[in-house]
Amino acid sequence: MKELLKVRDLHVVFETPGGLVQANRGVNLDVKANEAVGIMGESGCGKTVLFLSLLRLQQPGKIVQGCVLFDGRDLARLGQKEMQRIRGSQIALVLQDHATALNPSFTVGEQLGEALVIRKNGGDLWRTVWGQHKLDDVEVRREIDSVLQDLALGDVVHVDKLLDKYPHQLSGGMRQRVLIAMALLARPRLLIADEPTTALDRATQMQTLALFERLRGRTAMLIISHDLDAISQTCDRVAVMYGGSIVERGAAAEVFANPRHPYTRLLLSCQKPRRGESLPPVSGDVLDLIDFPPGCSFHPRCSQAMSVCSQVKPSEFEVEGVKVACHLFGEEGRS
Amino acid sequence: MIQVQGLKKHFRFRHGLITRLRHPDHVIKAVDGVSFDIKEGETLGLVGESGCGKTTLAKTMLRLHLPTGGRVLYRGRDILSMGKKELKALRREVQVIFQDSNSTLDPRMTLGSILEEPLRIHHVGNRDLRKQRVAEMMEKVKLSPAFLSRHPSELSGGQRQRISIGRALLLEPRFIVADEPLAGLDPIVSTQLLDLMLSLKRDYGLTYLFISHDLDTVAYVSDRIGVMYRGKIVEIMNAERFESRARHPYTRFLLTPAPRASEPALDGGVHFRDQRSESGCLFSKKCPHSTQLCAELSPPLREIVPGHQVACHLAD
Repeated sequence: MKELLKVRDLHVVFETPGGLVQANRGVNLDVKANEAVGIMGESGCGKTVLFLSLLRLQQPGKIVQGCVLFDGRDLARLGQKEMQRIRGSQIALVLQDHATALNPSFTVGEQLGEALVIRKNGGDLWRTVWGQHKLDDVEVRREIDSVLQDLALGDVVHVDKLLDKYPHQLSGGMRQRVLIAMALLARPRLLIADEPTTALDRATQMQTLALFERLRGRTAMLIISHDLDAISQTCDRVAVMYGGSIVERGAAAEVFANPRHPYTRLLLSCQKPRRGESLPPVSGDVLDLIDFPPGCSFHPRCSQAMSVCSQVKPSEFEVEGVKVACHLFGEEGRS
Repeated sequence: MIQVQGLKKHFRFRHGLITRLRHPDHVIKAVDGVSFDIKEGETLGLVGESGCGKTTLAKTMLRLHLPTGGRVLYRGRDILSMGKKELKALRREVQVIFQDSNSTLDPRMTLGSILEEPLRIHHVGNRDLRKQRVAEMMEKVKLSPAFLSRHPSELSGGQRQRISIGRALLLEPRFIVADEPLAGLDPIVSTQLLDLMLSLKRDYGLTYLFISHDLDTVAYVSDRIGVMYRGKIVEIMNAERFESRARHPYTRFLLTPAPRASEPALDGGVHFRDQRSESGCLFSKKCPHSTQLCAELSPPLREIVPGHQVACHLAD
């Protein structure tokens, strides 16, 4: 299948008074058309900067190296005006904080309608403001209905009532669904969801996940989360991120069944404490993104670190279809 | 150690004609007749989805909210009838760790003065002794002493939560209420904090009320688990083999693994606005096993096996 999104050796830095923060250090990632890819990693590992860079929303961060090929075009080198046509209409984003992502002073219907008008104007905000393509209410309603139908929301809520409501009148789960509906109204080719299930309680989490599962196979998705359940239920492939790089990527089922990188193993062992068993020992603190250790950035916390780990940054080795950036799977690990 | 007896907290609306029409009695029953005990050295876990009244229950127990009814006894003394002096002594023994470390630490104070403040308020030792105690605590929560001169905004969420834990422990309390202490933290940091809380419990012989909506964590740390639904405790039991022994349909719902997309998800959401019209079991409208009796009569919390109480007509 053809790759829709190809990220190659992406480096993103932030200049701060404390020094240069290297948020992404050589990220490689592929997303095929209609495929769901999950990105896992602890807070501060660069997940958020990665997806913001895909949309060129990483300011004040700078993309200093690498490329983001979306459908053959390098997004890292497009002008702002061209990016505007891609944001929202080609690549849509569902943000983590559903409480602040919607405008409190407009009804859900108005906001969904606006998203639709922007799409009809090819994502061009200027043309949208000057109203080259005005939509009549019937057309707007038809499109909204069809998306809500896709999400199977028609059975759960009364659509007329929902559209007349203001965001604060909705529950967290409902707001999240409105955001997903809004993202889908533009019929994007890639949907990015940042932590779609955190900040929701379990019942709503399950509903949201079911919704993403419905979308699976119909649109390409990039789901960022540190929740194993969320990723394993909705994604075909998974990429594990640590210290600004992807340390392991491959089919989700394979990575979860046989985690290879020591960091992936640590991350998975921390997911669900089991009664009676002791907690996995976790040493060290979150990585300082300014002052990286030499070699593999995980080696100070790694229990299997070898001498080479503190000297050479490991490249990706392929083991049974999974790409692992760890010396254990290179020449030194085998000998 | 702690006895909660028929505790109630109802919030009354004072504003808004429409809200008043919707709730003819102008009341939301956030905590509605909750009773349980916590023994010395025990960890009681409290689970329930957001909005079920967990936090209100915790705050009411600590007299941060004044209850509408019921009693809270700490070592046999009624917290609600305590005078000022007695209450201050209680505050030393009972501490709380809140969910949002962002808003519970004063952004303009350094971590050193944040940690020293409770000691100052309770007139513990002189300045040098207090400094020493703070330094010892930093070591216990595994933070470098260099942090003492920094401000909360310079810390990560996990580090801030360590400060909250340290601050709660400085006065050497006996009982700690931890309200979603791990919410919003990633799994690796949560594991570290959980480990820290458990080792401190061993060192200090603490008693915890551990509130969370994450069943796995609660099942891991607790000796007993209480399940809350819409202001009431619907089940309270030993954490031992909780997963196989829980009987209440709502608890079973919480325990089910995530549904496939093809199945309609059961909506367990809380809708306080339905409260007025409802008699009977609050879960009956969503319960797959609901009978006529459930819709008419509210089931009392009763013991089905020693140490296992369920509020359901069908459990026996």
